[in-house]
Order: sequence, then C-alpha cells, then structure tokens
Amino acid sequence: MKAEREMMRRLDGAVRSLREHHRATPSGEIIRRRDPENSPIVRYGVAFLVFAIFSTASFEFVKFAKAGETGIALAGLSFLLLNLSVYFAARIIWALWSHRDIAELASLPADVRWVLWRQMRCALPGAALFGVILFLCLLTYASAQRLDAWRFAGLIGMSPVIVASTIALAVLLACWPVARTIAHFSLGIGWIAMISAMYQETGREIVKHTLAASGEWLSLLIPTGWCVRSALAFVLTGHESWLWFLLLVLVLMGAVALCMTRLMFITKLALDHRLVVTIAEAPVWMEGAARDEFIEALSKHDKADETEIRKAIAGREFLMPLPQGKPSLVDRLFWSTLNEEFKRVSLWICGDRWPRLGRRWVSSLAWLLVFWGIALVTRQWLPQLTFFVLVMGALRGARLDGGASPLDSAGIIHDAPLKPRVTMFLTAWFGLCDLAISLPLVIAHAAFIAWLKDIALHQAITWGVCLMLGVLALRIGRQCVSSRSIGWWRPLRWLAWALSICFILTLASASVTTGGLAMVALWIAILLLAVANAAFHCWLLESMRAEETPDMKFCTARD
Amino acid sequence: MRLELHGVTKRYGRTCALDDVTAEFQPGEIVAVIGANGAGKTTLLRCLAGLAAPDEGSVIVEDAPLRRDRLDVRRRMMFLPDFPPLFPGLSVLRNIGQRVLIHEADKPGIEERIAAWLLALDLLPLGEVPVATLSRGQTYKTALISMLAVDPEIWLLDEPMASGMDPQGIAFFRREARAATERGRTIIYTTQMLDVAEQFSDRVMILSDGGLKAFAPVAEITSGDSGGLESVLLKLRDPA
Repeated sequence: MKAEREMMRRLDGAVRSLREHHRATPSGEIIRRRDPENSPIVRYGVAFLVFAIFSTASFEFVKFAKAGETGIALAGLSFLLLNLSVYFAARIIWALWSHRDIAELASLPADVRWVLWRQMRCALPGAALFGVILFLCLLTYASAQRLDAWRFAGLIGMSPVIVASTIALAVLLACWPVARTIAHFSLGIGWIAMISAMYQETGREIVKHTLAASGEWLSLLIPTGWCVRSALAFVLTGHESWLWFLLLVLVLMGAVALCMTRLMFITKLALDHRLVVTIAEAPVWMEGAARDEFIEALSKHDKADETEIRKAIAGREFLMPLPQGKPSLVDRLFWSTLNEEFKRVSLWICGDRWPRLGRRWVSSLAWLLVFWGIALVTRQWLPQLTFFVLVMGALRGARLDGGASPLDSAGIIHDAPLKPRVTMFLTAWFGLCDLAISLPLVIAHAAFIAWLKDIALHQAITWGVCLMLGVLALRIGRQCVSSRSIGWWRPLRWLAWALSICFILTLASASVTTGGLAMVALWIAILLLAVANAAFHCWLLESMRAEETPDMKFCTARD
Repeated sequence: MRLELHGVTKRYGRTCALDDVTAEFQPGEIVAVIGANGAGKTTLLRCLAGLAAPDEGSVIVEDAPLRRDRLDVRRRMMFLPDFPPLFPGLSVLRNIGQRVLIHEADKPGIEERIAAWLLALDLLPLGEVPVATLSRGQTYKTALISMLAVDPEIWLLDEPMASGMDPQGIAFFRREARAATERGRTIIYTTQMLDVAEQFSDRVMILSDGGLKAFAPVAEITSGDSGGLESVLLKLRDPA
C-alpha cells in the first residue's frame, strides 16, 4: 500500500503539473457537474437525508400511535428507516475515506493480513447495520417492557460484546479451511434448535414476546436477527435454559461466518470472471474445497490444465482485485448462500442440459417445500416466510443489468452492457417468463396459506398475483438502472423492499388495518416511482448520448 | 528475450485451437498474426503469455519452458486482450499505477512519461475518472499506457487495431511500438486488417484451423501473388 500511495502521489503530481501547463480542464468535473450521482458522496448523502427525514417523521408518528398493530408496524418501519439512515451515514464516511485514498484498494497485498483486512472492510457496513438493528431492537424492547435504566444499560453493554466476539470468531472461522462446513453445521443446529423451541411452550412464548416487541417484519429479514432478538429476550425474561441461548448464539456465529465465507466466495467469483489471472496467482489462504473450486474455476476460465495450475499456485501469494460492484446487503447475508445451495442442488438434479428456467423451477420448489414443511410443523408465522422467499427468488433470478454485482457477473448469463431500451425489453420479457413460472407456485402457496389461516382462497390468490406483478415492476425498474447510475434508486429499492415486506405481512396476517393500507398505498407509489425512474433513466442516457461531443470527453457507459 | 514455440498443440474439448505450431520470435521484431475467426490467434497469444498451458509441446522463453509460476518471466511480458482487464471502479491513474507496481516497472521519471502519454492519447483530463465510465477506446488506451509504462520485453496484443481506439490512438500505438522494437522489444499482435499487417510488421504469421501456414516477411509470403495477403488467405481457405 505504501508503494502504491507513493506511486499515486507521483502520478498525481505529474498529471497536475502537465495539466497546469496545458490548462486542461479535468473532464471529471464535467462528469460530476452533469451527472452528480456519479459521486458516491452525493449519492449516499441524498440517501441519508431522505432516510433521516423519513425516519424522524415516522418516529414522531409512532410517538402518537397507540399500542397495537399499526403502532408496531410503524415502529418497525421507522426502525428500518433509521437503520438505513445510519447505514448510509456509514457509507458516506466510507466514501469519504475512499476518496482520501486512505483505505482504497491496496494493489499489492504483502501477505494474508491484507486479505483479512479487505474482507473485514467489506463486512464493515453490514456489521455496522447489524449493530444498529440490534441496538434499536433493544431500545424498542426496553421501551415496550418499560425496563429500568440499569437493565437497559446492561443490554446495551452486552450487545456489542456479542457482536464483536461473533465477528471476531467469524473472521477466524472464515480463515479456517473448514469454515464453510462449520458455518453450515452451526446454522443447521441453530435451525433445529429454533424449530424444536417452537414445540415448547417456552420457545413459543419467547417468539411471541419478541415478535410483539419489535415488529415481526424484522425477523423475516434475517433469521439471524430473529435469533439474536430471541436470545436477548430470553435473557431478559429470565428463562433458565442457557443451552438454548447458546445454541442461538451459535447460529449467529454460524451466520456471520457464512457471510464471511460468502464474501470470499464472491471475491473468488469476481476473480473467475475477470481476467486477473494475468496478474494473479491462487491464494495460499484458500485451502481444501475452496481451493479446489478456485482451481476448477481457473482452469475453466483459462482453459488451462488443472495439474499445471496446482503446480503453479503452490505456495504462491495472491493478488486480489476488488469485486466488481459491491454485493448488496442481502447478498452478504446468508439468504443468498442458502439460495446458492439450493441452486447447486437444482443444478445437480437438472444438470447443465436443462434450461435455466427449469433449474429455477426446482430451486423454487425446494424452497417452497422446505417452508411448507416448517409451516406444517409450527402452524405459526413461518408460512409468511415463504412469500418472502418467493419474492426473493423472483428478484434474484436472471439478471441482465450489466454486472451490478459480482454474483450477477458470475451468473449463468454473462453480463453484457446493453442499451437501456434493449435491457428494458429483455428484462420485461424475462420478467414475464419468470412470472409465468412463478405464478403456479404463488397460487399453490396462496392456497396453502388460505387453508392454513382459514381465509378465502381467492383473496390469497389475489395477494399472490398482486405481489408477483409488483415484483415484476420492481424488476423492470431495477434492471434498467445500474447500481452506479441513479443514486436515489438504491435507497428507493430498499424502501420498496421494506414496504413490500410490510405489505406481505399485512396481507398474510389477514387483518388489514389503516396503517397496513397506508403502507400498501406507499408501496404502490414506490413501484410507480421506480418505473418512472427507469423511464427517466432511459431518457437521460439517450439524451446524453445524443449530446455527447468529442471535446467534452463525456461517456455515459462503455460502448 | 527469445521466445519459441515447440510443437505447441492446444485443444478445447474436441476443437483443436493450435495444432503442432513451431515458431521462433526474435527480439526487436513486429509480428502480425492473421487468420480467419477461430484460427487460433488468441489462443496462440494466451499460450505465449503463459495463460493457457499447451496440451502438447512447449513455449520456451530464453531456453527454459514457460510456466505459470515463472512470475519473473511473466513480468517481462504483457498480454493485452481485446477487452483489457482493468479494475473498473478505480481511476485511470490508479489502474496504470497498479500495473506498473505489479510488473515492478517503477523507474525514475516514469510519472512524467505516463502524463505525457495521457496527454498524447487525450486521457489527461480523465486521470481521476473511474475506468468503468470510459468508452472502450479510452479503456484500451489506458491499458496501452500501462503497457508502455511497464515496457515489457514482449508485447502481446489481441486486435489492437480493432480496440475502439481513434486514428490518433492507433497512430500513437504504431509509433510507440516501432520505437519499442528499436529497444529490442518483441511485438506480437493479432489483426484482421490485412493492409495493417502488410504495412506494420516485420513478419506475418498465418494461422488456419490452428495450424501454422506461413511465418515469414510479407514480401516472401506474397511473392508471386499480386493479390497480396488477402489472396494468400483466400487460397488457404479455398485451395481450388
């Protein structure tokens, strides 16, 4: 890093001096002036302001809300908004940090420590967000339970310890060759523990207690969050089964470890996708199965002999590039890992000869069966998860958005920068295909929910279809904008997500309230805004291309 | 730096991309590799760069077989694919700086030379702009500057003339490449533009279906054929 900084300092100096000599105007300024959203600071700054306003407003509203579903739902919403504000604030700091080149990507990693640092930096926003969520959950809980100051202080004191130790352990696990196995194992135990807990009165009480305290939607976002809140609630309510608590902590550790291994996996995929093999050798820290995967990917990419690669990488250091784009928060969390597992299973079942859509069928069915199984056992709130998962699956399907994330670029369809109109058409087409595929599943699931919750079938089906249409609209909007092009799209997407979940919950609980309806209205408004955003973006790109002149050196995208 | 191919054969499944190719490249020469699509041109460059291991035969660099782990040798050569591998999120300057460091090519005064090349290629105002926002031609120019800064002993370029660079960029490349050969650099590039190959090469290598059909100066290849390289290639395609 030192060498790189020195080199950059010299280059900057030389370029500046030559610019002054020629009085050249950096067209970077033109780009910023014409497209301010290219700047991460502006992008996240806008996002921060939006969410700060939203969250403040919702908190004010919550103050006046009476206890009850609306109040809880709004509290949940405000939590999410506040969390996002903090998240984006963290991103601003990060962007500023990067701008100052303090912790920008190191070009020449001296050793494995650099890799670790890189991984931790990737995980930083996720960890920060996680911490904030935890804090706010505690705050809500304390507020709802009217806890006294010392107990609340105890809670606050405990949570960073848990988070810090978990992350530390996760880093260790992630660097350990058998990390993935351990992570899966602990996660499996955690799931079993949770499901077992549902059978017991204590477990049910805890679940009920915690869900009521901080909003059910949050638990649907990440099971990890649910585990933590359950565990904390468990401690607070003084239940004696410490074993259960430990199991939950284990789940948490497993999940974070999985996130870490996931990050490594993403990096590997990015490596595979880019032609960095010209400057890279395989990592020494990657062992066992991960190493085998890497070699396989490398040999496929390079069309090189595996034996040769193995010989070549023995004992070599590794140069790691920054993954293209940054993985989304959801990708960082282990939902995507689980989904990947299902994808692998479906690939294993269907093989490469099956069309991609066929594989998605199997993957979706696998998800559905798993959650139906859980729902049948518990007959509680878990069926709602299925809707969420279906939405996730639909959103995480085929993507043609020019490689917004490394997962995309390493996916089945290789990313290709397409013209916006073509992208929109293709996305709409694929979206319709997805819809056609998902619709039977949605209807089947709606029927299941209708049976389970004793509500009218047609109502459940309507929900499902509405949801799918909403998802389609979201996808069209999403595909038309790359992550770097429209700054305010991403927070909008997050908001749409949050509202979608609220929407699902409101509908699935079969108790539509004023608050719920308001959220639905807002959700629809966001969707419309998303589509309008996409259309605007298309227009913007087209007009920019039309206006482009050689002397401006302005390019909107790779041609 | 002497570079040789000894009976190199490379297969991708049932497709034979290179079939028993033997050739020798001399320092200070420009070699244009031509042939139809799928003739094995890019595979040849990848084998020369050590990115693809031959199934049979070997690539010899200074009397020793080239292997992937010979980083010392690989640092002395550089391969520029038609879509150069750059870090899209990083600026033009940072990409160039990284490449210089990776190849351990940091020399006194390099920064001034880089700045001059940036100016010559109209990239000076774009030094801080992320590569992802550049056009293809500008991206290629960035990679080209990296190559000039590294100044490897062997330049391997895949379709540099069809890289999206403007005429000034191509003229710049030709000028710098010719100057590099005077320093003893070997330049091997692929192209589909036969007139370019005729004018801008010391020797031309013709590949067809993975096989080496000719490797000689243009005049020698086209002797007795007034149609030039085009006629030679057409005859290869349809001998009758």
